[in-house]
Amino acid sequence: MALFIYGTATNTGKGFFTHEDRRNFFLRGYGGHDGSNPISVWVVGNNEKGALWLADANGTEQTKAEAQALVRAADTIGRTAWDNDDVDGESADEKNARLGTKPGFISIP
Amino acid sequence: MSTYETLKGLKVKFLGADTSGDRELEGELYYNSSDFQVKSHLAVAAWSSSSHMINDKIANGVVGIQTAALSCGGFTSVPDGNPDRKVTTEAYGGVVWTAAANMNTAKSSGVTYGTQTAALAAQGESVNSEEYNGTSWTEGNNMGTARGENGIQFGIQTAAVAAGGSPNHAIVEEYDGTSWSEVNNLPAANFGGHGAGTLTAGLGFGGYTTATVGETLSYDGTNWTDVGNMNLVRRNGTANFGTASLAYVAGGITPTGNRQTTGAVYDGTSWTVLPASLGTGRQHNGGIGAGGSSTTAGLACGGNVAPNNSTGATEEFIRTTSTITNSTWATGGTLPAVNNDSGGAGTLTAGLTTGGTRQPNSPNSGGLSTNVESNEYDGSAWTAGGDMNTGRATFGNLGTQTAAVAFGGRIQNNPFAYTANSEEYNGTAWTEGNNLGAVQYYMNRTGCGTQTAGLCAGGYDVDAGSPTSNVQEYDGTSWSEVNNAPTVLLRIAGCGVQTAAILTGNQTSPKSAVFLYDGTNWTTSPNASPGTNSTTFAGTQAGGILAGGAPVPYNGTLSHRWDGTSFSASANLSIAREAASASSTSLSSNFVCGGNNPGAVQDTTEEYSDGVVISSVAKSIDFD
Repeated sequence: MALFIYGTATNTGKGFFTHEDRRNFFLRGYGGHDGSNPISVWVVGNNEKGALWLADANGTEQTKAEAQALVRAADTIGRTAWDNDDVDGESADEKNARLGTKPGFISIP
Repeated sequence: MSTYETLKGLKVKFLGADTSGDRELEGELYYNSSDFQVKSHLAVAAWSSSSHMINDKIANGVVGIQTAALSCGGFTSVPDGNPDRKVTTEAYGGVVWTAAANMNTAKSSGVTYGTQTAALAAQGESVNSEEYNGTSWTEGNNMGTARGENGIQFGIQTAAVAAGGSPNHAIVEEYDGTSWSEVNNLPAANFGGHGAGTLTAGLGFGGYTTATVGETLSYDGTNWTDVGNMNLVRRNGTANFGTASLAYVAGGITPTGNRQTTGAVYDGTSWTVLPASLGTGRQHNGGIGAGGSSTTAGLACGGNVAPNNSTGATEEFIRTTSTITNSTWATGGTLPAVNNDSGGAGTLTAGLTTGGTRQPNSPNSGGLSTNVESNEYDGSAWTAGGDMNTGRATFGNLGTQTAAVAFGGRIQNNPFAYTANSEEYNGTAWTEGNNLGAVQYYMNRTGCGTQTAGLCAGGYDVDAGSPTSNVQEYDGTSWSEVNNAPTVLLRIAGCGVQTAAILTGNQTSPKSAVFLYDGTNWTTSPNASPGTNSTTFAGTQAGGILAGGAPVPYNGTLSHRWDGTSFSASANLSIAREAASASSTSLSSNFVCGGNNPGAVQDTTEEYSDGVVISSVAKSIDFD
């Protein structure tokens, strides 16, 4: 059995996931992008409570490859924004100090 | 047929309630007449991973306890048939390893005793012996006989026993804090054995005599007595710790040469294999050995792993009858807009976030991009508060929801502009206060103190063109310079009050140093933090939680809990974020919100629930 379920769901704020949820199953969120809008990608522990949580959150289940593609699209946008964010006369070190190092690509578990 | 009383020396008690406190005895069966159940307090044991050592080591010596350990010596390879013995020493505070003073003489496979601040290291194919006082190593009087392969060892810096050792020694020497003297031999030559306990109540077990053995010997300060056998024979194990009546061993190598992950416990009578096993099978490595008298917590670090390599892998052992409810993060209310590098103050149910930028890492695009908005949190939802007079990001913020201070920061991008401006919030509106002593930003990014007793530590001094170690105190009216921090501080996370503040996660070296301020002087904790910068820190000097940090995604979901002495890993955030905002004054009731994530600047909030240890919950025994 796969360890994780993958899905997209909008974080609705308070109560979207609870302390009890966090004790019941693995949950980690990633920033994704569907080509038009940012979208939240969730990696959920593959047990009954995890599956019910994604359903209750009105989530859309994705394959791992689909979820990874959404995250990679967001990573690409962030990396491009970093590349384009220049200040005249600024050295590479100064840019790293200002922005942090260039974001990498995230691999979801 | 034997009876429970015969086996345990106890009768099954008939009780009206669960045993607790002094009456509690692990493993004792009793009948709870209120619950109509047979019950017992059962211990659960487990190994969990921790940070790697700085250097991979084989046959390093380790002393101390799980939250204050010291590893010294060891080797990494065997060029030309001889181990490349090391003098390097590392200290462990429960989270990360930090470099400590080198030994005078390189050693591996030696004997080690004591604590992180009072250690003894000897042997290691030589007669050399030296002592450590927490700062430096000092030569002591030599042993009588050079030996190797960690013979049986137990005791402390001032009362130590070294028994056996390669090649095939039965010699036993005792150390009294000044000199070594030879005493009664082991019954048989032994090397690669293990030990636990004290000079007058010691235990030696396992090792190699004419073969790998499980023989267990007790020592009363004079004589050795055979008290049984381990049920899984091994030598060169690790993490041998405990007492003569409750000893542990894990890892090691079996007669067939297999590196072990299994652990075993000796209860004063017999050995039992524990279901808890090391994550990484290993042999010939240090563990909390001679000085570790804990019967509930141990440490394994370094060693020889398959196929034949050194490792710096560290694992922590815990055995407890308590039930531990893990710390967790849950979603809170959503901010009105995404926000990054903003200020935070207050508590979970009366929180404040102020200023910041809508963009990741304050980019130049968009011109003026700093916010003036404040938002207040009630533990469920965010509502708009008063606007600051000066929009700013990467600034200092402290206090409560109804009495906060914002100071310094970056006020404009493209071109960059910064401020020394300071202003106060009363829960409704912001009013101008007196300026900081310098135009600066990147000072402590989570707050220390109150509106009438605040702290501004470090930052980037714009006029000087460099990071600063300057520290200023706020008395509710003006800022005044006080004693400098031990080093320059940049974007460091802090919490606590003006007279008991704690700061860590410096963006410049030393990143993992933990600085403590008592209102006058700065000291550095001997125990380091993970060294993540751009993190949040909520709580007090007695207990706090670090959360998130750069670089995301690697550190952005991590959190670490400070217990007043050292850090330990805590629950992960669900969304990686750096430069988030956090409430600042409570460990048990706090939040993080906003922050930068590679995918998007966040408008999300996560609320922290601190783990609870429920001591000794009795388990019912079912017979069907």
